[in-house]
Amino acid sequence: MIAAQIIFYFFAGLTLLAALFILFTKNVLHAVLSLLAVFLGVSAMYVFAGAEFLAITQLVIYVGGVLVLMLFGVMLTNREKGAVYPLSKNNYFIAGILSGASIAGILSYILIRNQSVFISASHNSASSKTSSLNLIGISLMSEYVLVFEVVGILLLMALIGAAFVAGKKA
Amino acid sequence: MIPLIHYIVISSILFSIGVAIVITKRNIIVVLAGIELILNAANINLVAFSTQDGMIKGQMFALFVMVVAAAEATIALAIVVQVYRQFKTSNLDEINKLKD
Repeated sequence: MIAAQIIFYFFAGLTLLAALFILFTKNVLHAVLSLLAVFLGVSAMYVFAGAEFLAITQLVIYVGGVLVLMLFGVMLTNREKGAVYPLSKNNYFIAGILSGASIAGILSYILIRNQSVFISASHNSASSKTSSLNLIGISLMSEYVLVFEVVGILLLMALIGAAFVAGKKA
Repeated sequence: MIPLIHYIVISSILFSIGVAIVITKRNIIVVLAGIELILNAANINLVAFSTQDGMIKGQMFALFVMVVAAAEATIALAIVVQVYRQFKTSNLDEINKLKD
């Protein structure tokens, strides 16, 4: 039990540190690569929340798809080799830190005010030892079949649209 | 088990960092990375709350959020490539014309 908690907080710390690294780095490539650590940490958190299928999906979609796309984007918008790009200006930086801190303050205020609700909720949580994969498969083909089809069409449209937009000569 | 509130605290911090990235960074790719952070923070909340009931509604919703995020990233990167071809820059402050 203790080992599981240590692993969870390790991955949580990894996620937050990598996210902070994206905020403070000045190199685009380093930012995109530390996004990899964020996705891995979030995926580990899904495992601890009993969502194994979502963890695998996170790895396949984000690490295998979105991250590779972003790396291609960095390469295609690269002016010259080894150039470090100005990622932020000082006034923007202060504005961003202020807004991020104020949002964090609002969220933590909400959390502290409603702490009793969350704590009482986590006591009666029935930790399911069985995998949720079976239930996900059945739900996708019965209760959520319409959403499933619509999302499939959305992906097809995104694929065709991306190929059309990116391939068009200006 | 990990208490529910720890998931919520982590996702709140991740969301705040994502907002700060979207506001401070001027490179298109890094702003997109910030948007992905925000979507991931929302997904952590959905998955954490879906452990509370026997049904898996939160997990299904997170799954569809992921698919929409992937579609968004695809289209956004295509637009980024087109914008770079037009303006020869990936700095959001220098892209301020709808047409020449």
